[in-house]
Order: sequence, then structure tokens, then C-alpha cells
Amino acid sequence: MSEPSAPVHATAETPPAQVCALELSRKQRGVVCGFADECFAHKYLCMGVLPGSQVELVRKASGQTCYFKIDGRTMAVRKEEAACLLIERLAQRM
Amino acid sequence: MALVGNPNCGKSTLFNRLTGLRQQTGNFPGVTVERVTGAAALAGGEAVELIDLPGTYSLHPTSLDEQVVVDYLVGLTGERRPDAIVYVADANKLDKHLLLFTQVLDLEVPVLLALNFADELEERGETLDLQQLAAELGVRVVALSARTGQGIEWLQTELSRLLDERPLPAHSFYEASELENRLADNLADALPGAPTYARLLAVHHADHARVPAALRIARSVVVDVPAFDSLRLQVRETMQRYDRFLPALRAARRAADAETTHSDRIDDVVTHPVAGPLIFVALMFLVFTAIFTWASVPMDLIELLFASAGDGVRAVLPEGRLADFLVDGLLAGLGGVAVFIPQIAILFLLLSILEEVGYMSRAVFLFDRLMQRFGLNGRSLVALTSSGACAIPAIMSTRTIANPKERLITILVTPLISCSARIPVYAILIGFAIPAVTVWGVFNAQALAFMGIYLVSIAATLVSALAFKYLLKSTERSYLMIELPAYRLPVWRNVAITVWTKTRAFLFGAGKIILGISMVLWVLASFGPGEQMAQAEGRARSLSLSQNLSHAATEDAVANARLESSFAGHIGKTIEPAIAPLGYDWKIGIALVTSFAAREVFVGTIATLYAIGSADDDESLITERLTEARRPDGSRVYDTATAVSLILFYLFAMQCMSTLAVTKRETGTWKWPIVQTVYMTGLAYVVSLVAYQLLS
Repeated sequence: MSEPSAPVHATAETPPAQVCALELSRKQRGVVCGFADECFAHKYLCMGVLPGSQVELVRKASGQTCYFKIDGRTMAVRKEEAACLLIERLAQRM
Repeated sequence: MALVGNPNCGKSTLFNRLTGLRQQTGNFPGVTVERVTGAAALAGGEAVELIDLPGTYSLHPTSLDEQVVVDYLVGLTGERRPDAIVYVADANKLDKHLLLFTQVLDLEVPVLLALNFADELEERGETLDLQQLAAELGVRVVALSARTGQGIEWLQTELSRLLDERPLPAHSFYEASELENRLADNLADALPGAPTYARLLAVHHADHARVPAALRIARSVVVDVPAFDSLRLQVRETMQRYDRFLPALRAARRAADAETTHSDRIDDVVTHPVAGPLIFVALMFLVFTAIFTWASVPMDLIELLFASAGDGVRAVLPEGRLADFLVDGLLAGLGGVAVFIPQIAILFLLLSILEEVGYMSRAVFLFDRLMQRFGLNGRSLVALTSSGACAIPAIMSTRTIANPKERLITILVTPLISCSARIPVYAILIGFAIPAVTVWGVFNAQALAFMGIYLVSIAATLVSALAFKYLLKSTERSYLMIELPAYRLPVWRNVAITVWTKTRAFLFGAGKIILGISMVLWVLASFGPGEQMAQAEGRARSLSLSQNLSHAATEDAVANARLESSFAGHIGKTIEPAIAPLGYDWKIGIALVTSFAAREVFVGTIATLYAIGSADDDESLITERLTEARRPDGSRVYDTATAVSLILFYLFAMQCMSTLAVTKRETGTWKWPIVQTVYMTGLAYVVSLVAYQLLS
């Protein structure tokens, strides 16, 4: 796969350090760096999604329900839940 | 003894392995969460009671299912705590599955760690040093595969040993803060004998209605300190546990690299925005067709069996009340229950296969947002689709919906989808409503009308769901956040046990109520006030004699006269003023009353009422007689307006006691079946009224 085009709000020199998981584009990877909502955060923690976990957006369904691969495990989360997951974007592999 | 573990850890497969068919299903006290217990065989052949708790990620619950686990393990609702715990974890995901394990350790109950899917671990090239893991975690560890049965004997041996020696866990992975210790200690009097961590869990979670009042009040006093921030403490605890057990795990494990799996490739297609929904529709169509076609033969057989059993009873017993009661009351009622078994069994066979292979959570992912708009859940789709065959198994399938409000709405609206029992009614009436002409060159107008009926029922379902979404209050936060488990071949033992336990639950749960109401209906149709029935029968006989009718025609006339003067007949006449604006006469009134046993009874009832002969359900004959039926003023009873009004009434009205019985069983109270009856029948009345008044 080729390098994806940079998101609109980012320039090549200064990639945004932090985005919410909802803003990832398809097949893009990142690392969890924090949570925006305590209540969802605890649910994520209990399910083993921790700061440092590897996240890949596999695809989005209608209404932006997200399908993530997190540390090799596949999960579906709602739009609101994905919005709370803060991600440090990684350069695309391959 | 209790089985505890995360969702998708293979806990239920292991439970089925250990208990086989020696299982009982019930509910946890005060909630509709299913409680499955069974007798598990140990090494020496002795048996021990095992409870399969719902899968949970943490002892800090976010759903009713999870709350029940905490209630049970801490003893919050007064139930006895388990003597020992088997903690089941997926050996491939120990870094995720051990969080709950470390919480369970602190409950100070003997624990055994069972590592499931150990066979896959080897395939992935990962190694796990069991001895080192056991030493790091401070409990005995067993590696097994619940699917293949590998390691089960080892587990049974260790279980016997666990119960003999009752070793308490050696390590803890959590050190409570001073505040937490103080709060927990303050609750010591309210929870005597419980370990500190159990008390701490009570400090966090003993605030719901099922907790005894004394404990709830004690807890509210204890937590009334400014420094207590429940969520923050929970997060801190969770993080500390990860920090402490992950190093222990790393010491025992050699991990392999993650790679693209078969599951990923399947999901490229199955969760595709276009292909995904199409596949779902195709699968549900398949399920729907299977219920129709596969079930028809066994259903005919069951009906035949009960009919011949009835004939047998009539042949042996003398004619009279006893024979009538046994055949028309008891056997007819039993037959009415048994006839649903094939549909229920087939539906659960197919649904449990889809669940087993891991498809269901993908369907949830695809449709969650759409269903959420209507106050439903992705999983509601399964129930709504199945109820095209029958609402009973559909309502039973809502147990997979974790959010109580979404589940309740699904149960309430599911019966609005047109089930197979309405089809014979539509089939008879549609001829009176719509002429059999071809429109737009190719389409049969009646077939189009049939499709229209289904579209109306789907629309009504969604609109009602939306209404309930705003009417019902919910305190629970709704989560999706589900794991999409890797695709796997189904474990046939699990499929078989699901089909068996669900069918049995229907037979003994709902069956009792259906049987009871059938007998009440029989009494209403067989008895009348005073001597009225005998007098009516006498009049009918002398009239038949004077008109020189054949034996069969006489019997039909007698049956008609008896029904007219029975309690059911009186009910029909009593409600006539209420249903006259809808275009119905008292005979239709009787059919509406008897349809409550099951909608298809409509056909049999009007067959009797219009003296077609009770043994003859031939549709063309019934249509002919209905065409001849006249009102007192000489106009046809079954004109377009009445037929449309009746179709709409059958579409909307709650006329199925079996469904009500299942709703009662699944919601645990009579409140919701009553709500269902009132709103559906009210809707039916209004819609039919408007339709009749506009058309006539």
C-alpha cells in the first residue's frame, strides 16, 4: 500500500501529535496515549486497552461505528467511544 | 464452585464439557440475567455444583450482566459466595485476560487458573512456562482446550485437589490505599466475614436495588466523605494491577509476532459497507426460509399426532364432558405448545451456529448505529428478523442484548413483525380486500398487498420502538465496545446444548401458561350461562329435523348454536358494540376472542361459525361461505372495508398468549405483557377504525 495522503489539517513537517481514534483513516495505525472521558476510559482499561496499546483502524461502518484492531485483538466501538480514545499517530508501515 | 472469565474466553464451552446436559437455567434473584448451573464431574466420579457466570472484564461493572457477577462473588445480595473459583482465560490473550484474575485473587477464595485455547498457542509458535506462571501468580495452572477436550482430565484432577486442600491464593497484585482500606473497614459490620477487597467492591457497587437495605444504607454513610471519588479509585486500581501482573506474565511467556489472520481476510468481506449488509440480509433470509420449510413437516406431524391421540381418546372414552375436556381442552392445549417446538429448535440451531462461528458480533457492528436511532441495539436485528417466523424464539433471543432498556424495547416491539401464524388469516382475508388482478403488467395485486402488509408491520415496529425510546427511562449508560472474536468452527456440543436448553425452557416455562389459557378458552367455548346451551342445542336439532338436514349439517348447526350461546358467544355479543365501528359482527368478535389462543385459530373458528364443518379447513370453501355471509340489512359482511380493517387488526393486535407468556418469563413481571397487550391492541383498534370508516 502506498503512503496515504496527509490529513487536511496537518502539514508534512509537523504531524499532529495527538488525534482521537475517530480521526484515523482506514488502515492507519497509532498508539494509545490517553483518554478523553473517564467513564469510557475505565471500560477501555478493563478491556485491556491501555496507554501504549497498538491501534489500527480496520474500517468504519455506517454512522461511524469503528472496527479497530488493538494489540492484535479486534473490537467494535461506537462513534462516541472512539472519540474518547486519544491516539499518537504512527507512520504507515509497508 | 463458579466459572469466571472474560467474554469469549471459551468459558461456556468448558462449562458444557464439564456438565453435559446436567444443566439448569434460571434467573439471578431480581434480574433477568440468566443463571446457568450444572453438576460437574470431578476426577473421582463425584459431582460438584458449578455455576457459569456471565463473561465480564472487571469486577467494576458497566452492565447488568457484570453487576450480577460482582453481586454473586462478593455476596452483595445475600447469596452464598462460591467455595472455589475456576478462572478461565484465553492462553493467547493473557495480557488482557488476567486483570479480572488478579481481582478474583483478592476475594480470598481458592482459585484455579484454566488456560483455554492452549492448542492454538502452540500453533502460533508461542510458549508459556506453566510452572513459572503458576509460581508468579501464586495459584495452580492447567492448560487445556475446551473444544478438543485436551487437558480436561487434568483439570478434573486439579479441581478435586482444589476442593480437598482449599489453598488460598498466595499473591496479591493490588495494594489498597489508606483511604480505600479505611472505607472498606468501615463496612466490616455490614459485611461480616468478607475479605477487605470484597468490602471495597461493596463500597463501590453496593448501591442498587437488589442489595439489602441495611447494607445499602451502611454503604451510603461510609462513602459520604469528600475524598471518595469512585471512578478515580477504580482507574487507579486497574492501572496498578496491570503494572504488577504484566511483568510477571512477561517472565513466563515467549510471544510470537502478530500477523494477518484468516479472520482478517473474512472480515474484509463480511464487514464491508456494501457486501456486509447484503450478506446479513441473505443469511437472515436463509434462516427465515429454513424456519418455514424445515419446520412444516415436523409441525404437520405433531398436529397429526395430537389429532390421532384425540381420536384415540374419543374411541376409548364414552362421549361426554370428560372426553371433550381431554381432547378439546388438554390435548388441544398441549398440541398448541408442542407445535411451536420445530420452529424454536430450528431458529436456535441456526442462530447458535452463527453465534458460535463469531458472525453475530459482526452483524452487531454493522447495524448498531441504525438500530440505536430507534432505541434498539445491533443485536435487536436478529430478534426482529426471527420474529418474521415466530415472536416466541425471537423474544428469547434478546438475552444477548446487554443494555436492559434496549432489550426491553426489543421485546416490546418484536411481536409487531408479522409472524407465520398471521399468514393463513391474511390469505383468507386478502381475497376480500384486493381483487386478484394484474397491475403494471406483471404484478399480482394480492401479492403486492401481501408485501405491503409486511412493510407496514416493519414500519410500525420501528415507530413503536422510537416511541418507547422516549417513554422509558434508563439509568444505565449504553456501551457498544465489544470484542469481535476470531472466526472459529462451531463447537457442535455447544450448539446442541443451546437448542436443547432453549427448547426445554420454552416447553416448561411458557408451555404451562399456554396450556392454562387454552383450558380457560375451552371452558368459555364449552359452557354457557344456565341452561342456555342445552336449549340452543335443542332448538337447532328440531330446526334441522324440520328442514330435513343431513347428519353432518345437523352437527354443524348444533355446534354453531352451542358456540353462540356459550360464554365465548356471550363475550362476542358483549363486545359487538365496541367492534361494530370497525366493521365486525359478533361472530368475528368470537373469532377475535378465540384467536387469543393463537392467531391461526381465526380460520378454525370462522369455519365453525359459518357451519363449514369443524373438520374442514379448506380455504376455498371458507372463502365461498364468507362471501355468502350477510348482515341483517342484507349487505355482505366481508366487504373490502371489513376485510382491510380485519387484516390491519390482526397485523397490530396482541393476540398471542404464547408471546405474552414468554414476555412474562423474560421480563420477570406481568407489567410488560400488559403494556404490550394494551399498546398493540390499542394501536390495532385505532388503525382498523380509521381504515374502516374511510373505506366504508
